[in-house]
Amino acid sequence: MMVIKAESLVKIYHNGVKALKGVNFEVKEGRIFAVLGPNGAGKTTLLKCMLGMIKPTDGSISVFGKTPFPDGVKNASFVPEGKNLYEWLKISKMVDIFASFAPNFSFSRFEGMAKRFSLKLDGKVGELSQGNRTKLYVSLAFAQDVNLYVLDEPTWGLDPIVRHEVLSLVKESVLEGKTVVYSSHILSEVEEVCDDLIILKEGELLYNGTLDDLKEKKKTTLSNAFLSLVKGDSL
Amino acid sequence: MCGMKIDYHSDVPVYKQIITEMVDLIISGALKEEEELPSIRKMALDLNVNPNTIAKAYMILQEKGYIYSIAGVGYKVAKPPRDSMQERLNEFEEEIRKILKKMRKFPISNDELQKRLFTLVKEVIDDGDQG
Repeated sequence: MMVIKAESLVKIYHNGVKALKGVNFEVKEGRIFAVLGPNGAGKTTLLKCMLGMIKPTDGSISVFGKTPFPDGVKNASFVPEGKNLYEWLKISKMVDIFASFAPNFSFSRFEGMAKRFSLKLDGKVGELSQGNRTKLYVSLAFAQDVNLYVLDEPTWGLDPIVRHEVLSLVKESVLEGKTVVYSSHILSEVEEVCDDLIILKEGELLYNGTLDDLKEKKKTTLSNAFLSLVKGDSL
Repeated sequence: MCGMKIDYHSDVPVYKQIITEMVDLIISGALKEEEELPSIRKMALDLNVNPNTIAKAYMILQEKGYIYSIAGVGYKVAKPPRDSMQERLNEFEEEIRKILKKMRKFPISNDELQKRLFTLVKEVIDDGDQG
């Protein structure tokens, strides 16, 4: 079954920046789908379109068969790129507030995540290190029992041990039949988890297919294939 | 199966690495006919690999006749398909051939090359016999 379908998706911001120039792709249920690209490729814009946080300029995107904008996607949770909201709140308070509006939030799932990541819940959000902040956001997202997880740079600032835990969590979510959209600029970790991927550059798709096919067609590693595509070689 | 080594960053896709490892275990008899295989779930957790990758490897192993599935029970090892050993031997020989060609380019005599190769073969056979 298809979870997300984008057709000729275009996003032009008010300042004239063309972030997405007509992209087409599908995300299938139960798969880990990576969104790759150099800085400024349009990755975050694409994720925001999926979640209905911004309105596409042209083309269409549907998630679970519905248009995400403006109501959002109830059956999805999100780890945002900028992990700096609610700085002034106590962590425990932020969890309560999040739980009050996040669909299908489970405190027992949250406690499980916090334990797994050795996340301490004392103090204010603003006092957390970058790594601990990421842990908090990932724990909150996975505490929601939803069918789609959209993760924007979910390992930002994490040490190798916690990073490994996050990657394991992503892989395990497939066992529960969940779908994951994962954006990252760290190719080695994408290579470890994803089934399917798109590579974006300046708002255009350079690749759309499985990781296995990319390696088999290019007969090389993901990082070499990525570099040659971004430099402008064809497949 | 826990000793299986996965290299995520190789140019060989992970599902192919798993297939090759399992084919060798089955041909060598380390995995015996009728033996039950770990479930996709267990294998994914043990190897820390995306479960879809294990499912793909199992599906292809099944198509090629190395394993079979019993509804509700799981996967079992089948009798190694005909010619499967010959196919793997050809692949191994190809690897040895490449290395020998590299050695041949060095200034050593044919006798020396043969002697070294023979010594190696003898060493491996003796090791195997001892244990």
